[in-house]
Amino acid sequence: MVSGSVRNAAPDLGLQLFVSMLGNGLCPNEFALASALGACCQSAVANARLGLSVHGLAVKAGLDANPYVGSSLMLMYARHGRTAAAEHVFAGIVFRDLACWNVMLEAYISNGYACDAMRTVVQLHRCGITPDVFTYISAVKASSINSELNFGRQLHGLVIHNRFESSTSVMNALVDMYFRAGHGHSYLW
Amino acid sequence: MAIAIFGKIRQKDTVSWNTVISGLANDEEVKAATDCFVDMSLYGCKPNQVTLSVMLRLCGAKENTSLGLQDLPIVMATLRNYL
Repeated sequence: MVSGSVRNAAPDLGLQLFVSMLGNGLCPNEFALASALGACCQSAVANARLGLSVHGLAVKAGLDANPYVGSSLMLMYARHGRTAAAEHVFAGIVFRDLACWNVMLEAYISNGYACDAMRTVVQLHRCGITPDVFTYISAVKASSINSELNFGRQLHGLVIHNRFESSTSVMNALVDMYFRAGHGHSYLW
Repeated sequence: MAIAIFGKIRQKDTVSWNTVISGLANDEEVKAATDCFVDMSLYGCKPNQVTLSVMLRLCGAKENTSLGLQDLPIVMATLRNYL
């Protein structure tokens, strides 16, 4: 029910349901927590304090290190501009999947920490995880914000190497990056 | 470089065209941007509010007044067709 109301653009109803669920003495599982955190991102009334309370519940339920709940927590903190808190959650996640890395990148970029985003991309690469479309889009955006054309070129190489050239979104991000770097027309590398 | 990559995109969507048109507009390549806009319609991509705002900004820029007057009918016709 909580997940349904959040998905159908009724985050306040979802939060009410979540609270009544707690009132009935039920312990929320990772899906309920993630949906409630999603509602905290969307809702106009909900603020960071409510998100913090849900984080508290997650810690109580022992689910804050779950990658699914963790990525929702990071997204919630990113939306409220608390990058440091998102970083802290990220550090606490035991088995980080690609979605966690993508959310961390997104958190850095939406709050303007492009340097940290680039650092995260390098870490991800070192961990040996194969990036996906979303990782590349965020990474290219980070290098374009930082005007680090060399880093962007390396990413372009990776895109070609991992055969992501068929993805329109990744290519759009690359086109935008080269335009911003002033390489619109020049065919020079 | 950007144009070369754009040429490699197999399925160009509205965002691809918008990226190129606004990139060219920022580089003050007015002619190229306008051509691109016309090509976009020929390619069968529907311009959205972003495309039209970039094109109108281009046509309305002070130094492009002559070009703006000349190319505005294309923009207006596309506007009428699509919106």
